[in-house]
Amino acid sequence: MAITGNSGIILTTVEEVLSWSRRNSLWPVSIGLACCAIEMMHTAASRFDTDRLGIIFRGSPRQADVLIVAGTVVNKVAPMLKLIYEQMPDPKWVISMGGCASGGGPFPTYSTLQGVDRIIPVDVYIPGCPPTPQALLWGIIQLQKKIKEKKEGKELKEIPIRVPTESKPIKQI
Amino acid sequence: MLWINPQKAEGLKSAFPSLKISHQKNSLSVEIDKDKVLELLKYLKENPEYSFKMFIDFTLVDYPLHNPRFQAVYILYSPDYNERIIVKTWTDETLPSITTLWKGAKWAEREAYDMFGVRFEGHENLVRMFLWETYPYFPLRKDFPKEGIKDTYLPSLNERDNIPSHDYDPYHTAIPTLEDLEITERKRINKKNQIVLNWGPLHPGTHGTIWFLFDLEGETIKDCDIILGQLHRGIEKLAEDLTYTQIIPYTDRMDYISALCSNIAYVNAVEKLLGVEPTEKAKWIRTMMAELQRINSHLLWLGTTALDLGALTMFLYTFREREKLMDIIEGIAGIRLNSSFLRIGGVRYDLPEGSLDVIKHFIKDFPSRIKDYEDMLTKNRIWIRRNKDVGVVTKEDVYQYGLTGIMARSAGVPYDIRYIQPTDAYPEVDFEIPLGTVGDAYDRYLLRMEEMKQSLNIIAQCVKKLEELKNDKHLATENPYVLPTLQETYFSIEAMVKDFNLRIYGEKAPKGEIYLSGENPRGELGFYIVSEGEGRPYRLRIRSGAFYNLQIFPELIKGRTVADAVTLLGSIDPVVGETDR
Repeated sequence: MAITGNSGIILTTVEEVLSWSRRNSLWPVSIGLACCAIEMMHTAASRFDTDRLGIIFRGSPRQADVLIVAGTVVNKVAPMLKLIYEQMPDPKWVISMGGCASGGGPFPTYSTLQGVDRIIPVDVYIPGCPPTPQALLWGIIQLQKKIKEKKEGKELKEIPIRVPTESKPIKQI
Repeated sequence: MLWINPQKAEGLKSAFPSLKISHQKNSLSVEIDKDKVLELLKYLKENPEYSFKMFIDFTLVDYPLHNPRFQAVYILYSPDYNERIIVKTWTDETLPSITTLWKGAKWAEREAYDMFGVRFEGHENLVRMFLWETYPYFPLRKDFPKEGIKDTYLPSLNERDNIPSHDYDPYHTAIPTLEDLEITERKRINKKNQIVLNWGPLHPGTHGTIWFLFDLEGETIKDCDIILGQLHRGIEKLAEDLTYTQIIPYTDRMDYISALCSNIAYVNAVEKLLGVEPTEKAKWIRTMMAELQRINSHLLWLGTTALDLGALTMFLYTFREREKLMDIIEGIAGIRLNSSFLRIGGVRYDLPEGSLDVIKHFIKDFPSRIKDYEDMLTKNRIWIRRNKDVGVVTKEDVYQYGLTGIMARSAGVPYDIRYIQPTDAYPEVDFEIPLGTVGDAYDRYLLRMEEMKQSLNIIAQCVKKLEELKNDKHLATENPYVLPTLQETYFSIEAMVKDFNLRIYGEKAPKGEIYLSGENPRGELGFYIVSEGEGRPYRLRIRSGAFYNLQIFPELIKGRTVADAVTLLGSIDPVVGETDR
């Protein structure tokens, strides 16, 4: 944004305003899957207080634009998580919180999904088992940076995200 | 140990001549033919001389080379004589259902069918407990691989074109479609009334990922069933491939709200099996940490339940105190939540300098906080009207469903593992066990508040004792089964060899079996370990308190409204990591 002179006029573009407002009012869906959800609650509670970053947890995916995948995603819950992701309005972002969501974590078993990026595209991965609230805040700030850079035309330098076109059958073969 | 007297067990032979009694160091089990097992269990339950009224656990063990293949294990408890017994039988395909004797066996039998494929004759609705209906395999059988059958091509969507982002297998185990889940749902409940309402699995009020099905007539719930397995990670299968020390972090991730209490239950069972005695100081540290964790867990319950019932302030207040407790635990154990602080033979670290002072300050500060909470809730008109007379549990329910923890004590049954089978420093500390009179959700609220005060009392005694034991060892490293400390490993070759052996080959436990439990904030968390003399357990069965406590939910909610379901679920306080394992 640019301020010209002392008259208080702000000159900007629509994209800049949109990007600014989007990154400063990230509303996540309040979904907790496992241990990481406890740390997510701590991040939202009195000490770390995500409200000051404009983050307010919403009960409905229709009102949210960030999905924080907090915890182990098992095969049985994967189609339902995908459904919730699809219900969210665009633009939307996904934060994969913790080792289990990012890559299966310590559970290489028959029933665990080895990384949530196999069903939905992920923007930010946060390491840790479980990540501390500070780590989650770091992840959110990374996401804000990413949204800001995208506005400035830097999206081509990022890893291109392959968005699934067909949504109904998850089995691809 | 709480096992039945061997002479008394011999007395069973007069009624059942074909009975085989096996008396081991850590357990006492009786074995009988499949067609007589129902008769024997009925005899044990109804004969006043034995009176094994309370159902604790049922599971199967797979022996692929044995004929018949599966061993069924029933664990019962007698509240009158304070004794446990294990009843075993063998089968290939079917077993008689014992739901006529104990309603609590319903889910345990579903789980056994899900995991092993053994069918139960006479079960009212035998469906899969954790996995979906169209899943073709039985995972806990020994011939099923731990990783599952990777037959679906499921690459990462974040992968860059042609350049692999990281080294991973794009083939994956099969994921159900939404149709598969719909079949699962329809098998559970038949719509008889106006509408079938799905509550969960990803709903903020369900404390995780539990999936409720309500058959509604207006707003009244006529029928209910619960689908679990939205967090089934296969810990029991994983454990068969790990050494005893490697399993400790998994017990954290089971009941993640009270990780240290789960650690203690598991480590005590393994120590009994191996014959390891922890040091005196470690025992007191464990007790102190368990009670800190209990307060922590009850605070989370208080905050979230009050939040569900509309009291947002409680959530902010309790999480403020939880942060203080988390800091104390982080200071001592190194990690906030899933700390894996315990080791076989002791604890990971010695107490750091000044930690007892912090805890002392917390003990001084916390009673006034509890008073604040009680001022806000106990006589609050809305709180009382939401909680009174919801989910009344009777003594008979406790025995029928195997309810433990707060659920049992709210009905007036003094079932507390810290009291009936004390481990660690519990025999030496002085505390009271509060009991309920009505058995409703309000009683359970009062009990949890009182338990927090009792825990503070125990912590104060532990701090006093630990100040005396300042210079003791925290790990019994002279024992051959105990891992040496880092310092010893670096500076002595014997310790290094021992460390290597234990880490690679595991603790070679003697052949046998053990069932030992600990008092989790959610109920009795028991570990049934079968050892075949190897460094890894042959079978590790986790008896989850929350699993059995949740089972009474459909029974209690019938005839009540959806709003009561929130209260009732809050007062049962399940953790999905523990129910699904």
